[in-house]
Amino acid sequence: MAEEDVGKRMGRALYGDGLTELFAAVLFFLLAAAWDVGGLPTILVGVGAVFGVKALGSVRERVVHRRIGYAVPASEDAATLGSGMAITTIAVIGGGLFVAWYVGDVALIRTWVAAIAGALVAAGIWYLAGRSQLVRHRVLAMATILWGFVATVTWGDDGYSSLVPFFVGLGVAFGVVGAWSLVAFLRSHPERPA
Amino acid sequence: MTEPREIDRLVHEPGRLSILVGLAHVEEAEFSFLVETLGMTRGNFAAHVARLEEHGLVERSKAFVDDRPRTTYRLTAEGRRRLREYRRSMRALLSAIPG
Repeated sequence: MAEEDVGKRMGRALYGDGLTELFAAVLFFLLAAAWDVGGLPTILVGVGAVFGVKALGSVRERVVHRRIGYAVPASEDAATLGSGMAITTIAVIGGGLFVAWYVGDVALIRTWVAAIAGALVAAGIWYLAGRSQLVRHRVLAMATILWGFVATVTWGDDGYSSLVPFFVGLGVAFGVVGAWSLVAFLRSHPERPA
Repeated sequence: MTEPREIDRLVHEPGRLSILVGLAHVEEAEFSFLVETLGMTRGNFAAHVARLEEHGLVERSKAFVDDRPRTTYRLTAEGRRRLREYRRSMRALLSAIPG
């Protein structure tokens, strides 16, 4: 068995259950609510994410590990992950600011905020796709960039409010993909006897 | 340049290489997860992983979770080092193939 094949098999086994997408969908809906309500502190989204990660682990233990066995994905080296996130964020936001400065219209950032957010979210999903080796993650990453542009063209005049339909759209897409993947996973992996 | 005889034979065997590469993707994984994901028979896996454990490339731990026994495996620091070294050697060796 070639090394690449082992990598693909491991990626599919570790991320193929759809729970990661469902978790992301919940986060996107929380972000949409935070932007929509305005009074809802964004810190609550962070707290929700922390509890969500714990809940995800618990659900994975009960649903996934009882079917295919227990496994914990290797964690990325913190320094590598941190520098990658920093470079991506600086590149996307810096690029946006540079374009706004070059064009001479700072309000352009408000108009294009959904596209910028789309690029940042897509970078995260692309990173996940590298680990999972799943085609659907690459498709989701590309669709996220496209959706960012669509949200900008459609709701860009609303400024930062365009983030609400942007995150709702992502939530729906990730929710559907996650649910579909989870159902497929449960059908193909019956629970093992005790 | 790496000579073919310098290739790490413990790592080079396909079954053991599959186990090492598989474990490189996880912090730790259960016996049944690895057997199914790597597409090996239980006997074949047990024989190869025992050899890797014997040489200190893999470590095993046992626990009871929800009254079920769970045997998990993880790569040791030595296992990671040997796998990285194997990759370097193979790249050097294969790059010497003309054409």
